[in-house]
Amino acid sequence: MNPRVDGLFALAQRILRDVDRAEDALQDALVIAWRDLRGLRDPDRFDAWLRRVVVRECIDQATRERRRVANLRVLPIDGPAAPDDLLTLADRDQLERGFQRLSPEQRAILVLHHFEGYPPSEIAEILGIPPGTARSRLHHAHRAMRAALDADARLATAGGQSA
Amino acid sequence: MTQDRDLRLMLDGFFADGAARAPDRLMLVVTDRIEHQGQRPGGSSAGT
Repeated sequence: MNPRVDGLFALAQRILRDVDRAEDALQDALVIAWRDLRGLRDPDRFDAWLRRVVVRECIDQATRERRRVANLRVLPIDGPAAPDDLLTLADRDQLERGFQRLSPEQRAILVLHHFEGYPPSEIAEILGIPPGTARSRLHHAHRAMRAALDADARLATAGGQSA
Repeated sequence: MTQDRDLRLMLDGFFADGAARAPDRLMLVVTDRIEHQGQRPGGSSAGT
């Protein structure tokens, strides 16, 4: 497979947390990219443009899914964690639950920053928003993730006390 | 666990784990679909 397509699939899978939905989203995004390719004015920005199409499609699909599924669930990921991984299974489950509580755009921003390694200026280019807005949204995504993890920890504590 | 400095490291580790390769069938499906998909004229939508 084309390394560029592999990279886009990895990006989609991390935003959507599901390989089947990532495959659907990437298929749709590539067809949209083909349809709109003539609208790309600067060929040097093809990669950022294509990433934008993929991220938008992932956000759209996650939004549709969010409306459809009211309850939270932990989705499987592709491949086991390495035994010497820094995260425990409990940490990973807690992160998974916290991540599912975020808005689709917050999920995308965190993946672009922590998985792709993009600074806010490049996230801004991919999402088509001003750099200051990207910086602010990244900050809010971190804050939302912290809040989701804190809420999860409180639920676990309350559950333990009532058991 | 939710200390600010730790959260970023944990997210780095969390996202490092996951799919690395697209299924082989993906591009076959896309190729089949775009054969039936016209292209919009230049200058429309998508930007950049």
